[in-house]
Amino acid sequence: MMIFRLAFQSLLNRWVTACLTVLAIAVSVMLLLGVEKVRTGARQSFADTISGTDLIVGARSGSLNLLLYSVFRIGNATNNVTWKSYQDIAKMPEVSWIVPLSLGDSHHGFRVLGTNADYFTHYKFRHGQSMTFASGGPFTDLFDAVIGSDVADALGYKVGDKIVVAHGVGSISFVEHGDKPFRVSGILAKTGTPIDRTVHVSLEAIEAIHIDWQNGAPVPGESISADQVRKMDLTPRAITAAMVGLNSKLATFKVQRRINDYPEEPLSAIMPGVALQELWGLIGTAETALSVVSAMVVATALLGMVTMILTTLNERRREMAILRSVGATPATVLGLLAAEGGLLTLAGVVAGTLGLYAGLALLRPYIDHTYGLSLAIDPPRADEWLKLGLIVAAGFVAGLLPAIRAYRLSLADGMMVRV
Amino acid sequence: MSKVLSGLASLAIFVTVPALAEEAAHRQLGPHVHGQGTLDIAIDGKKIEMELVSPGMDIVGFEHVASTDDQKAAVEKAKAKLADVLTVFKLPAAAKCKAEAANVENRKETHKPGEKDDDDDDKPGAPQHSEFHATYTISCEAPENVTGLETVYFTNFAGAQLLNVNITSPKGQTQAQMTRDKPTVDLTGVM
Repeated sequence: MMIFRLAFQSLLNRWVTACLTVLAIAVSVMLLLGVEKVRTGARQSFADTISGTDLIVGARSGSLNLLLYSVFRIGNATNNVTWKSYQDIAKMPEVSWIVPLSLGDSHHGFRVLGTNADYFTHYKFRHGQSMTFASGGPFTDLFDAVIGSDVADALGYKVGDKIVVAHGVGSISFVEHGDKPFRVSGILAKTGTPIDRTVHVSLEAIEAIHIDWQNGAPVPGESISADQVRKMDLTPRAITAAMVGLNSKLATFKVQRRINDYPEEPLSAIMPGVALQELWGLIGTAETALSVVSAMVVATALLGMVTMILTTLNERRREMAILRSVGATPATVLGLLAAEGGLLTLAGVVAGTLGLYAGLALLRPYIDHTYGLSLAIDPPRADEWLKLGLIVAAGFVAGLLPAIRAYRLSLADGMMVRV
Repeated sequence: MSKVLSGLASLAIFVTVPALAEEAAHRQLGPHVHGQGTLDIAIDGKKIEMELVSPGMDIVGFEHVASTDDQKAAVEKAKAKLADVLTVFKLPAAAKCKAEAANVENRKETHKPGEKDDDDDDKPGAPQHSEFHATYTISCEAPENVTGLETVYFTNFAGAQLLNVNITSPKGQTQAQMTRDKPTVDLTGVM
């Protein structure tokens, strides 16, 4: 205990450098734990992109491809699903609800999704949380659109604004559905999911804006006005994908197999939760990279500490000499310096951990709102405690390096005053 | 003469139409990877339904129709082992689970159950792929204690290397893998 007190007093004497060293270790510990928090938060937010949907049905393709275009609006469908097949699936006795998704148009680079009003009640994220409207409400008219919060923020839209949907998915489009503008009927609250970047319109509206088009382009002289189109049959011929909810989870695999074996059309049914996990498995390598980087930062901080103790060793020859002269053995000097390293690291680890939780508590709402990343404030897990313990132990060991040097020197050095 | 011709023509139509219909029905085959099986687990309330699909190669070491007495015995023995679900896939005792139904089939993967098998590739020794399909219904008195699943599948069947496990429950969906080195799956998050 005596050694620790001596070490503490000695550090107090050099408090500026000691504080800086503690700060360096604290920051590195914050980074190490923070990366871990962000990693688990990102994984959770990612897995929570869609919940409550049992199956996603699309044209025959890989599960990742189907997940990417139907949920993340990345890439395109390999094929469409015919309306007949959609109805066949809807009629299956195990199916509780089915929501059609129709992609292919865009608005200033944001994807336009054709769907129906059920989408807003059945699409769930973050453990069954439903979408809410920040303002306005779901579509009531054929040419109504509901926009995600990022769309509203980026383009400065409010309820009642008129928008024109462009054909295709590029951010600059040469072909627009200018004759049939949409009215923003509602703006959704931020979800932290791809919904935020989507313009939602009704399935019938998608059909309506393409009704006088042929082969992906308007036919000259054959334009049908928005009023005329309202009287026409707007049943879609095809959709891009569909979200399916089942009466019982027990039927999931049975229905999935039946859709995959559906004889009339090659379809794929995927379990979104499983596909999300597969996708995370692919992009999850970045997690390891993050952990490696933060481990290196901790190593650098410890190295800095060793350097600090070593460089001060020279100016502390007197200190050592006095200790020796009052009867301290070289072993005591060794212990003193090792204790110094350990104390510094311990202080750094404690400060870093406290700093992280303070930072989390402060920034959590902001991070959630801006990045849609929900970070959990929970006590360190067993493996994190282990990491922290290892860092303190490493601090002691690192402290041994200057300690051994001091041990050697203190045998004779400093006892005599050189002029 | 023309009558005969038209008769022949109508006969020809009569003969080709079913053939065309057969052509029109699209052909598809599921994936088949030796060493890898799939275990689907669906949980809802006290009920657990599981379905295992494994290549014949993993289970008995061959995929042709069993012809010798030894091969037939091997298939029957494997079926009996697979049918005893709670021994193959052990659930925690605290969950008080019992098997309600188990059904094991050895299928040729080109045919769905009940479908007419009219090609000739099931002659003994003809090359083909076959799979074992097992479906299980289990009920548990205390489903909240189903925290994991342990299997002796890999020790029972020497050819098996990997089981892809798909899990769905009211809590969500997830995927895991069981291997020869790690024959367990963690179910704490899904119950």
